[in-house]
Amino acid sequence: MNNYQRVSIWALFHFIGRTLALFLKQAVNLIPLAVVVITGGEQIRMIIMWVLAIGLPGLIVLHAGVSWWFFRYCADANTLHIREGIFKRTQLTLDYDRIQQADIRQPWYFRPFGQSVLGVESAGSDGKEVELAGLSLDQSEKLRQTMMLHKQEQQCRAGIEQNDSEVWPDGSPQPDLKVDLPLPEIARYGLIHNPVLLVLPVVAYPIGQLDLIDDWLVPRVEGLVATFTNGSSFIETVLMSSAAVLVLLVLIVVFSVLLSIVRYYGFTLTVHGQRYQTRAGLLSIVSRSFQYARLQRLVLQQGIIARLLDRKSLRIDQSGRPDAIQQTKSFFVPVLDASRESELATSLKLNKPDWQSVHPASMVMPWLISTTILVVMTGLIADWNSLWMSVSGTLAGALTGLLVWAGWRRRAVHIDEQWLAVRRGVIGQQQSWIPAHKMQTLRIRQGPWLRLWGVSALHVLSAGGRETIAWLPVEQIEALKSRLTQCTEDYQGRWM
Amino acid sequence: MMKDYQAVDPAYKTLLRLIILIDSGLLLTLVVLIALLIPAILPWHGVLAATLILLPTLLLMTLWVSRRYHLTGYDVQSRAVHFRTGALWRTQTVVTLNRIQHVEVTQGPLERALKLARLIIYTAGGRGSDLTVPGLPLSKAESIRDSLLQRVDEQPRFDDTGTQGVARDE
Repeated sequence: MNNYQRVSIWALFHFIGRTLALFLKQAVNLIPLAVVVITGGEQIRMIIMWVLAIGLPGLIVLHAGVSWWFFRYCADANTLHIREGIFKRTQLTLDYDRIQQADIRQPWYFRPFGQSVLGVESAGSDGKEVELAGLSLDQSEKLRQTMMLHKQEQQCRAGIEQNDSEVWPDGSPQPDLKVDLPLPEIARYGLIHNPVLLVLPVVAYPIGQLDLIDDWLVPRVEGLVATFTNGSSFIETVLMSSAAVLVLLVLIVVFSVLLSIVRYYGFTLTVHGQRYQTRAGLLSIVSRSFQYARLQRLVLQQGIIARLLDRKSLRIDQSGRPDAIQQTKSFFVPVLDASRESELATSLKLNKPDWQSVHPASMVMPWLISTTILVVMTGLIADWNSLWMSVSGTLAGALTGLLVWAGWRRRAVHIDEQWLAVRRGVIGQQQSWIPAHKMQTLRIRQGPWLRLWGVSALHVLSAGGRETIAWLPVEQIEALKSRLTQCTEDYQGRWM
Repeated sequence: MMKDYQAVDPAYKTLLRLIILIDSGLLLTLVVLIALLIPAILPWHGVLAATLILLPTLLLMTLWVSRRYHLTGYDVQSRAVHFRTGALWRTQTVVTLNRIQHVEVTQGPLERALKLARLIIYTAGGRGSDLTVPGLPLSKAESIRDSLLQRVDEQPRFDDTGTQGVARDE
């Protein structure tokens, strides 16, 4: 008989948040109610307002309270059982053997009470995610250790010997590798990854709908420009405008850096044998771990700013949902300099890549298409004026030629006994590394255009995502497919 | 290594022709309806559109179908399943037995009429990673499925050592 227990009363905060999120998701169904509010008269409006002001928060708290009451869990030596639901009861049984990632989060509202959330993700194409909120930090750590130790015990029972470096870390204070990111490095990530710039276009539409720009911003900007222009020279006006734009950009960058610090403050990566763990956060502390055996794909990214700062980011994808890998749930190292990258590469058993370029003919079609599009667009704008079209054709041809050439120079493949790596990019670069023995499906494709050049493309589908190796000679692609197939056939270890 | 691909059932050609015929018929009906309902469209416009549909249909039903059938084949080896298809755009797919999640045999109405079936092999590679062998006689598809499932069951259990070098039995 399983001994089910409730999570602590502090978990109510978490359940209120969950109910609120659920309500907001369902709120769209209440839109027809707006008709009643508009047409129902003053009395109906008052009643609805009271319901919204008192009834709704009350209902949310009540729903959260009852959900907390019915939420029970039981963790034994091998399995985690969860029962939840008010009307629709759900029972979930999760074997520790299937757990591929266990995170401990300490949200800001839990930290004063020493509470935490244990998030567990299971493997498989229908990977489930379970959250146990309202466990003390100690409880969460113990439960996570039980889950991880389970695997070691299984190995011992199976008689598989491990060397010292592969033994689970518990009780061992010395990790095999420890990577700390100091504050300046985390600030650099804020410069590299600027979420504010991504949010701006999304926010621009609703702001545009409110006529804020036409009614409020434009008159003020015009007034400001008039003030500068009156009695000022053209150069002064340009300087002032440039300064205003600069201030705005600085504000955006400062905000991004602050966001980065809130998320990754005190970032520490520790490696104990096969177990990789990160811990970071200023307000909410997130601790995330994964086992090397679950690794399906490694992605090293370097954008334009990251290249200028000589830094890279590392994401590790695990098995589960290759079509919908959630960035926020991936194992992520935000910023790596050359020495940290080298240390981590050694730990992850990445070999020094020997990049092989693809066929130069891969440049022809992208160059032709982009140049043609630009010339046709110029023709449409300039009423098919031949002079404008010739100028545009020359400039577009040169510019797209340069970009396509830069892209071709970056595009390369590396294959060794353990890994298949693909590199791409124009100014920055992205490297994807897939273990050679973890292929799911391999597919060679060859259309008439590729056949003309005597090349083909290999699509590699792994449980962590897909990669395409195109524009290599047919014989080489065939040999690569055979080699990867044999590697996968021969590998009898755990891959997921 | 040269693969000894086995051809699918010749009825697969009939299936492809029927699919092309149905698609072209629908397109032709749409063109006729548009020509009848919109007065601005002259009769010769309709004839031209119909010709532009019928000519490719004829080419697809003769040249493309025979080429596609000729290039479609499968090879069930002891540790992997290979499949090739295509006419202009050619594809070769391989799935190893130790990555198979589940195997399915399906039949649509046309396939049922022609006593054909599709064998679908699913892996954990997400959308598009499944291997579909069309145009198999139903009994053949079922026997391949049963044999694959039996061999998947016989696969050694996972351990975490990643031991390599298991003898190949091909």
